[in-house]
Parts: sequence; C-alpha cells; structure tokens
Amino acid sequence: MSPRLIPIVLAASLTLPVLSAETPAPDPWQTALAFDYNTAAEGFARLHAASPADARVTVAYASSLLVKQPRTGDNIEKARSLLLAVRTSAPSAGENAILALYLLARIELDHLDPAQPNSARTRLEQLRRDHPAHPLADHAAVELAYLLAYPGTGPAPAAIPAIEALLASVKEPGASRDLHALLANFYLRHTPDPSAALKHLVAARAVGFEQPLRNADTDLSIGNLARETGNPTLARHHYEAFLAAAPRDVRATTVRRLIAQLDGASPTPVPAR
Amino acid sequence: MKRFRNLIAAAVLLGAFAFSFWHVLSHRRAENAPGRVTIRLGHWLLHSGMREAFDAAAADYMRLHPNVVVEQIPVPIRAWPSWLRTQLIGGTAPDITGMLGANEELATRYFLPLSDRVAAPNPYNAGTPLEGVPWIDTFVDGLAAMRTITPTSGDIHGANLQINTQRLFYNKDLLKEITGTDRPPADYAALRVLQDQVTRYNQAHGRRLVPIASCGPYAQHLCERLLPSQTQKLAMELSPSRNFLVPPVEFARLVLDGRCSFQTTPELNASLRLLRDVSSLMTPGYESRQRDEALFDFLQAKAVMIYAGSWDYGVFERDGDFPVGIMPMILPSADDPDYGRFILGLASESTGSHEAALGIVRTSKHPEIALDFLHFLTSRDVAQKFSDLSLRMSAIAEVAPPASAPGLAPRLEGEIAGFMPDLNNFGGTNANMLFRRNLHLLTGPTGSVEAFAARLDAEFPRAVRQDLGIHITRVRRDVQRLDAHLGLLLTQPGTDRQQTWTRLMETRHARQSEYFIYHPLSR
Repeated sequence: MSPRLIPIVLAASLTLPVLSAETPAPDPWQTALAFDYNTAAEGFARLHAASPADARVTVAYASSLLVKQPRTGDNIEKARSLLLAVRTSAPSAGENAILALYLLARIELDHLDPAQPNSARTRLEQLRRDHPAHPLADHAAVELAYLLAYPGTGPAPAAIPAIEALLASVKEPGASRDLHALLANFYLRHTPDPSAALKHLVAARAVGFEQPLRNADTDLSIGNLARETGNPTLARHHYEAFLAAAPRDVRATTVRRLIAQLDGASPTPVPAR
Repeated sequence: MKRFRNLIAAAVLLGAFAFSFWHVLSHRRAENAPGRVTIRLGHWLLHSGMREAFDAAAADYMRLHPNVVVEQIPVPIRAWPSWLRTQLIGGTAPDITGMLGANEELATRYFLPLSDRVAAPNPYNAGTPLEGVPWIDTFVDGLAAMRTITPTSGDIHGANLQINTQRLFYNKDLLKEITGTDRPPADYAALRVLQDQVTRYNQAHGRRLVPIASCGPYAQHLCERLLPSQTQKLAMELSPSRNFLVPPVEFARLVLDGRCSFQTTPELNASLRLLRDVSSLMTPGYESRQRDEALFDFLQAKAVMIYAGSWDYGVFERDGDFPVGIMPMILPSADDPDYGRFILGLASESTGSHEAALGIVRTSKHPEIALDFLHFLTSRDVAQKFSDLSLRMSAIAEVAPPASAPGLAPRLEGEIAGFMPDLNNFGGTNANMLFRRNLHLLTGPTGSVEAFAARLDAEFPRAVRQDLGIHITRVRRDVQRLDAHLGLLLTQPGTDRQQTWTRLMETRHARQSEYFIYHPLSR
C-alpha cells in the first residue's frame, strides 16, 4: 500500500464506530421539550408529511416552528398557516382545534412583528364564546385582560373594572389566580390603593401557585401589605406561613422582627440548622 | 532520501494511531470488564483539598462497591465552559458532570431530571439524624438554587455539594504587630482606623502593606456585601411587590423614571461614598488584578487582610505560615455618623451561595450507579469527611463546618439585603461597564463622589435603557418559548400533563407581566 493512502485508510477507520452506532429516531416531543428544537422540528416535519391530516401532529409541528433556530418570519408564518389549516380541517370542538385557536392568538400577540392585537382579540373572544367550558377559554380571558391593562401606550388603570368583570367570569383556578395576580400588581403599581391589591393577593394565594416558593413570596407580600393597611392579624398569619415555608430564607430574620413588632413580643428564635 | 522521509512520517503516524487505538481499546476493556462499572465525575473544582476529598470519597465508595471504579476528571476553570459544552454536545460527558454554567437549556437537554428521586430519603443516611428525611430536605437550601436553573419545568437536575460564604481573613501575627492586638476591628469605623495604623506602620518600618489585599472579582464580592447596607431601608420602601426585593430590572425602572439618582437619592449617594471609602483600604489598582495576585499578597504578608471566599480558606490554611483569623465583613454600625442612618443590620446569609453542583448526564451508561454515588457523596457522614478534607462548607444539613474554621458557617440571623447601585450582570452590562469605566472619578486621591455621581446621572440612564431593552428581549423570547412548549405539552401523547401545563401558564403569565411593565421604558 502506498504510504500516501495510509492517512486516508486511518481516517476512514475512524468512521467505523459512527457507522456501527444505532440511531433510533428520537421522540420529537421529548426532543423539543428538552430544548432541541431544530431536531424536533425535523421530526415533526417528517410526521406531518406522513400524516398531513393528523391535527395533533400539525399543532406540534407548528409549535416547534415557533422556536426553531434561527427564528425567521417564514417559520412563524408557516406555523400560523398550519394552525389555520387545523382550524379549517379538524372538528372545531376538538381539543386540537381549540388549542390551535389559542395559539393563533398568541402568535399574533407575541410572535408576529408587528403584532396584530385586533385579530388576536377576535380569536380570544371567539374562543371564550364558542368553548366557554374549556380551560383555555379562561386563559384567553387572561390574555384579554393584558390587552385591556396594557393597550400599547402604557398601563391603563381605567381598565380595572373591565378586568374585574373578566375575572368574575373565569372558573379555571390557574386563570383566576393569574388574573388576581395581574390586578394586585396593577393596583400596587398604578393606583394608590394597597388594600385593593391586598384583596387580590389573598385571593390568588388561596388558589395557590405552582412555581417553587411563589406561595411563600406571596405570603410575605400579603403580610407586608396587611401590616401597611392596619390588619395585624392577617399580617401575622401570612408572615408565619412565610416562615413555615421558607425558614432559612434570607428575609426570615426581618420577618421575625416584624412579627415581634406586631405585638411587642421578643422575636422567635431561628430554627436550628 | 525523500522516500526515507516519507517512511519515517508514515511510521510516526502509524505509531501514533496504534498507541491511540491501544489506549482507547484498553480503556474500554477496563470499563467493560465483566461485572465492572466505571463512573466518571467531571468537575472544575481544582481548589486546594477538593481533588483529595473527591479521591477519598471515591475510595470509600469503591470499598463498599468493589465492582465500581470512580474516576474524577478535574478541568481547569478557564477551560470549563468550552469543555462542558463540547463534552455534552459530543455525548462524551462524564456520568456525573459539574453544572457550573449550565443554563436551563443545557440542564434540561443534557442532564437527567432528579425531581422524582429527591423526594425519597438518601439511603446512605441510614443511622444518622437524617435517616428517613427526603433527600431534598437534607440540603440546607432544599435545593432551591438548583430549581432556579430550570424555571420552565421546575425540575431539579442536580445537587450541590457545598455552599460558599465570603469572609475577611486576617493575618493574626501581622495584625498584632501593627495594632498591638490580634483582635480584629469590631465595626467599619474601627476598620477605617486600621488604615491609619497601617499607614503609620509603613512609615515607621519602610513597608508598603495594605489593609486589604484585593483584586477585581473579590472587590466586587466585598462591595456586594458592604454597599447594599445603604439601601436596606430603601429596598423595604421601594420593593414593588412588597417582598423586600428590588430586582435589577426594577432599579433600572427607578433610574429611568427619575425616582433614583446618584446625586439626589441619599441612599445611593451614601453607597458611592462608602465605595470610595472602602476602595482606599484595598490594594491600589485592584480593579485590574486577578485572584491569584490577591492571594499571593496575603500569603506573602503584604496585606493584613483579604476579603475572599470560603473556597480559599484551604489555601490559607495549608500555604500560609501565620495563624489566620476569620470574620464576616463588618458594616458601619447604626450610630455611624456617615453611614448608620440607612442600615438595618448585617444581612443574613442563611442559605449561602451554592457551589459544586453536580448532575447525571442523559448519556450515562450507568445512571443508577451514578445516582447511587451522588447519594453517597451527599450523605451526612461522607459530606462531613468531605468538608473536613476540603476545608469547605457542606450544603448538607447536620454537617459541621471544618473544625479549624467555624467562622465559615453562614450567618443564620441577619436582616434583608439592600441592592447594589452598579447593575452588575444586568441586560448587556452596558450600565455596569459605564459604572466601572468611570470609577477613576471616584477613587484615588483626586477622586470625588460629586464628580462620579454627576457623570452617572448624566450617562447612566442611556446605558440602562439599552440594558433594559436587552433584558426585555430575553423576557419576550421566554414568552415565545413557553408558547411553543404549551403547544407541545398539550399534544404530547400519553402522559397526564395537567399539572405541567398549568404551571407553564403560570410561568408565562409572570413573564408577560414583566414584559408589559418594563417594555415601555426600554424604547
């Protein structure tokens, strides 16, 4: 063998392990939820090509296109077209058609540039009107509340009554909680009414948050607002809930001091490590 | 002659290939020997004592499990970011890999979720006070720091072995020689007196000692402990959610709204005065110096003190030829005429900051054995031995600090922290770079708080607006990603996704709120 061929033979031999490796097709859902969006989008494209009428695969394919890198206007438009196709081909009361409607509104609000809030509002209202019992209809109310609260020119405190009306119509606990949180935030930042904020925070806390430690954080906010608005019983209750959930939080000593100030007693000791 | 040269080249190439082939083959044969399993652990923790502690833990584990070989792969920290990505992407990462620099994408994509596992007790805690305690509750912070890496899923992908604190370490001999006592300063005013004592000592003895050896990163640590003392009360007042927190994005809003100014907000102005003050205690030119230089100064007794991390204590203990004292950073007292009026007290450090986070990679061939070793490493008795050998603080409850350094333990009691005025790590760091670039106006013999504050008030808002724009762009990308995940979760076949999708909606709504609140100011 000519010495010149040696590097080529050696290089070729290095590819043997690659050729022998097994490469089972990964589940595109798992791949996408593990943040490998491009591989997932390719997988969904294959699935969609094989079963173009499968609404579930079409919605998943559209979703993967929203985050496929590089993010392009063409991908977003394609995602939108796929979802519109689901809306026309799938049964309108089916889960995938309802999800497609919600995602179309989300795309028009936060993916298209420029955004299309009017079209999004129409879809959200359609979702609430046509499928009032569906959880996504209640989450559509949260989107409508954001549109009312922040119409594009900054916050609109005048929208508070309309948002509270939306809140009254919502049944899904998560949507209700997030509307209460939105209103509490809005009252705190844009009105001089901490007691109204307090009422909504208490309601949100009663539903409960799922993000780690957010319940404890809300307890602390409630405790401080209750102290500020002259309700020491409520303040104590939520301060103690905060300490029970987060005894080693860096704010715990301060909270113990505030509890002591509520009734003039000495602070409770720090739990032993 | 040419043919001879070609033959030599071919022989060398063949030899190198044969050696590599033999090395890989023998390595694999050892790994794949019948009944024998090799677990590799890759980390960046090359500080004094850490490799020895890993070796000791591995040896103990191998005695218990003779069929398992545990190998550690230490990687210099400067090479770590690229090494980590290369290994993860290439599928060649060690079974247990350090998570320094792992963001949500890397953690989710390459590390196994441990959320289901942390609810069960650590079997190696049997017979200890932690027996039967869920693994997650055996960590002093309940692995809260690990959760923050993955806000979308809320899953836990790793466990941290240690926590860090920062301390003023002092040379007891030198302190006594200068002040007549080895008792350290009791408060910030006494620390300032030490500066005068060092100056007099230098004049009398022809020395060039400094009170505190420092470098850029360690000066930042010191300032992050000292300066927020001036904004503790302000944080209670300005916290938008009434939870005592003023996150950087909110401080940015306050600056852009004109509600915070370096010239007219007394607390911020006092922060700058304190910064000027403490700068004069540190090594001249500290901003451009690196950690090794600061450590060398302290070990060479060119400085009385050093503000450093608990991770450095092992170096001082082993390499210093003088007794080392340990104390927390001291703050101005409440009756300090210059700085006392804004202070609530020394801030709590009850959870420390997490260190030595390790996760199990998805490509591990032996994830169960890797998990078992991670259980072993974080069990109380092994963690105690690890802490004693590495001279660092364990993250495991019921584990005492190293016997020679009880002062490293985090302060459980303490008030809330205030916030820093420099917007470090916010957005594109334009505001922080502006702050640093103009420090020469503040420090040194000709520096002045007025000149620095005036420059910041004139130029800071523009940089803050740029950073806010970058921050808001990231928030919007999060929102977009969460939209995609919603579509994927609700179409994923099989499992019940109820709880996951509602949590995702909650996360997205929180991010949307942030976007709507701060976006108008970024334009």
